[in-house]
Amino acid sequence: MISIRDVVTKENIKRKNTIDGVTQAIFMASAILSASFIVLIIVFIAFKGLSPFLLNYEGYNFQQGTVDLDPVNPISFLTGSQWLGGTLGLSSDYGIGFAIINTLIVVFLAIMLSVPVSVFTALFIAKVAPKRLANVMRTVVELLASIPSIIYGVFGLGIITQFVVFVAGFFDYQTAAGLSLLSTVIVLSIMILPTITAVSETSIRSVDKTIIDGSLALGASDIQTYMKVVLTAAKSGIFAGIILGVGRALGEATAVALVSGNLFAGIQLNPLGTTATLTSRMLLGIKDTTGIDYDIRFSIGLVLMAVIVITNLSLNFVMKRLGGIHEQ
Amino acid sequence: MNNKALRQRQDNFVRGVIYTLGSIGALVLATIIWYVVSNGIGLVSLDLIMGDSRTFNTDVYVETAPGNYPLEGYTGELELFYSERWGLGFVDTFNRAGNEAVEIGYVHPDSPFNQSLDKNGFDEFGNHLVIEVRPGFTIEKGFTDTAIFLGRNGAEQIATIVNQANVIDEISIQSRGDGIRGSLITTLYLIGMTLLIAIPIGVSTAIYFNEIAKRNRFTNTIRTMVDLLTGVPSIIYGLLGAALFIPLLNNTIQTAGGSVISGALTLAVILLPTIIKSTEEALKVISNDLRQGSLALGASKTQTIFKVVVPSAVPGILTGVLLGVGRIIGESAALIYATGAAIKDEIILTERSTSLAVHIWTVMQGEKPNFELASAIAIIILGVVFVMNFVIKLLAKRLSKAMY
Amino acid sequence: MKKFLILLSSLTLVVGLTACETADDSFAGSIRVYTRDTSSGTRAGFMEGIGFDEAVANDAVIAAGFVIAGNLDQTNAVQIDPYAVGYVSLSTLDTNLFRGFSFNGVEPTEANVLNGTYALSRRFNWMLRDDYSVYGADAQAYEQLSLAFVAYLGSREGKASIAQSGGIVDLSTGESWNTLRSQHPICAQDNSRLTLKIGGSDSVESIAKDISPGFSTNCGNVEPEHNHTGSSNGFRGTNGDASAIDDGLSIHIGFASREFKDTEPARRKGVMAIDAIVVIGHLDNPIESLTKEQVKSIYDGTVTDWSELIG
Repeated sequence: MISIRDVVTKENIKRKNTIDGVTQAIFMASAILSASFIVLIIVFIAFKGLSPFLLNYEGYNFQQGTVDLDPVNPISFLTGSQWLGGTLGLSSDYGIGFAIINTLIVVFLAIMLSVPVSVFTALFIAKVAPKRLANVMRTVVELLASIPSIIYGVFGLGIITQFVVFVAGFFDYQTAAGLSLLSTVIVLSIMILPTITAVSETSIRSVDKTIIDGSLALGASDIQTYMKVVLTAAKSGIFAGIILGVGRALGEATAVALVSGNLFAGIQLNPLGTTATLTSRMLLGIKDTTGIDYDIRFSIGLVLMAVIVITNLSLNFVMKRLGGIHEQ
Repeated sequence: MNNKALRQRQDNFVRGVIYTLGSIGALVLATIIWYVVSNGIGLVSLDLIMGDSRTFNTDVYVETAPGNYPLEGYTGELELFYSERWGLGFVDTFNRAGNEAVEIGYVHPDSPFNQSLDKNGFDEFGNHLVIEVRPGFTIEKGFTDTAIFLGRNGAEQIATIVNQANVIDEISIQSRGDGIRGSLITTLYLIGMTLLIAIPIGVSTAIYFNEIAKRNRFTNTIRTMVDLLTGVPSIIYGLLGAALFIPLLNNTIQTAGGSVISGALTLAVILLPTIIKSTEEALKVISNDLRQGSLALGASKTQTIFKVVVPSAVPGILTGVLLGVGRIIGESAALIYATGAAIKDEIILTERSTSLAVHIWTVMQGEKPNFELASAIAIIILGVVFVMNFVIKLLAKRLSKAMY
Repeated sequence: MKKFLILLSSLTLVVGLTACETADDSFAGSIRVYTRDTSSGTRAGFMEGIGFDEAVANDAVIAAGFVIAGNLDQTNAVQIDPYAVGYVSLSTLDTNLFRGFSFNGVEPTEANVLNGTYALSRRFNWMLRDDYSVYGADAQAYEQLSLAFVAYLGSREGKASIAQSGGIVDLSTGESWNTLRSQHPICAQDNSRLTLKIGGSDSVESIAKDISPGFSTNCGNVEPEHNHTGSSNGFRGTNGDASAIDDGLSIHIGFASREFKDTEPARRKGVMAIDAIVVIGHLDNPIESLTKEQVKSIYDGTVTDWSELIG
């Protein structure tokens, strides 16, 4: 038998405390390490992404050999209406402004297309559908969420672009084999559907039952209650889902790169014309590129991060202003 | 009364809209699955999964003179073009790259090609190895005393050339190639290494937040910093891999460019928020009585964490891990930057290779894009990811049962 | 593939029908120009071939509204879009699905490429390292293996493999490898521990990957490793700034799908095969032949409508 006296000796307590101290330090170190990655991401991408603006790169082109390149002008980079003015390897006249605008257009349209579908899907799952059907649909949405981006790309290239060609055919319009703003928007809206649906569903389901009962008691039908009362009460949650969806849409790369058509210059407002996003520009020709043409992709990465942060902040601001309801 | 009917009609209309929009997701999922399966299922086989991406050649020849071997008992479905003098039949097929190819369709039981010789392979006595030519072998090229024939000439022409030959110098037989074993192994390595790195760090971080950290500014700050990782798109993680991990590994363990390790490190950072979140959620539902009971019995905090808290959190951690595995399997943009897109058969951790998802990207990009192979790989990925989804659901059910 | 094509062609049919209603006997419509991205060797060969050198690595000079597309997109586009124009390697030309225009009046066939009358072609060139000494103890082995490899390219067996893979070579010449092998004693050894690194042009990739298995069995099972990342890296990886052994682009044999320039010197280089580039369009396009000047004017944007090309 071990008596309590044997266990609670001074040395034992001391030893216990030392071990506790060491393990706690290890846990804390892990937490600090996890937290440090966001800093590392910013620092290292900034380090590489800013160098095209600061350094004289050595350009290379097989036609003319090695040349010295001027640093990229940050203003014309941010406002540029075409990707590269001049020969690859011999020019540092990069511009990404058009892609920033195109990205925002693509994401805006994708949200416009996806939100009604997602919100109604969420309402369908949470309230309207019979339980069994709701479970099936919930699984469907989870499965959609788990499909990798590249497979959406394969699907987009195989089906969505053909669909766009088909649609354009009615207007007797020639598309670039369906590679278009519309295809990009459709693919993206499918990809963010599960995100918005899942968040909206949670918030619809957490709407206080007394509000619903009150509405029903006042003589509203169930559908009226869902449309007018439940959706209004859940709007801050739905908005949070939209913000998540916007974040995902802004950063989506592989699928978009396959269907956008890699527009080289200009802002695309025609849904049947090709477009370019920041991410599709980052992936185009990545397989064999070096020097400034490689590093400039980190500059786009910086711009992308800035766009995400700014969009997020402004959407949060709008949410607080319009919603009046704060997040739980 | 009239009002009520109107309302009824309005309600039914809205209900219809909800049902329609609510079923779009199912429609899309069904279309994706149908599309990928109808394009790729023809290629999915054990041979594709276990096969090499590159091809191997075997050059065979026979020393005997032609004879007469009349065709008997061919039961294959494809149209056979047969050389009676050599007892060899050829059929037209497609290879995995979607190109036309010619295969051996039939070998007469007495044909000399049942005992052909390997031009470059020798046994221990220095004799040529004996190779039995069988149906299914793909013809790359061949040389007879009168002509050269190529696989792309088609079965009919090859059969004619072979039948005219008095001597067959060489027939090059090619293995199928375009297998995805290498990318599959890379994906498995990536899963293993990533989890090895991400689980300890992620779980420790979650334990720190939930069990140790005091509610103060410092804790809030690092928690916010960890939360920020959730919103970072994967292509940005790819840039981190390319800007930090690749140079780091190049300078320490002398890798050349991207490697499986740099990919795993990048993926580990991607997984951290997921693992931290699901671990924390599991830790939160553990009753405080359990912790206090353990401490009251004289266990140290460390013992309590390792013997009481973590074991109860295992299902939650597992959920996070499975979600993470799904993410690893599907990740493409980050890995294009962090490991590169070189398709390999022999996988070495310190060298470039490609995961299944990036393999899809690569075959769609090249000079000869291959939609069927891309779809076939997509089927495999979807299969794994969907199964994992169901396992996660089961786990979650178990978890909630265990808790309440 | 088949199902995909059926789907595609049925969709094409629908679009084609609606398009047909407007386009009667005269073929008019604004030309949509497709091009590969600036890293593509096919693009370099094409732009140089039509005398539009500025556009080899510069998108800004190409006709307005052009589309940067991979091969898959281009071959899709010319099946769907009646006004599209693009270019592919002769080996990917499928005249049942889309039109391959004659160039300067000469039909794109292998025979015409070999006899030199089809002008829109490029050569697939190889180059070896000048300096193998970085490989230390294996330096000699790698040098001899590289020499054996390029010798194999010119052998009867190598040429047949190239031809099978879509490269254009004269199959009537070429010595048997049985004879050539004796000049390369390295191939009688077991080379399975050595990895021969082959790279450069990605246009050459599929051909190079089809040759190396044959070479491997015929040269002591040396392990071929392919890393094709663009023509410029054919020089850079062998004799240029990326040739150092620890560089990811370092290779033993480099290919280019264009001519090596004066800025890319090497002691040992040669031609592996010829590849023809074909200007492609929709089957409904009534034009059969385009001149070099016409193709250039399409790509630089001076001609924007097909009706301007129908005389």
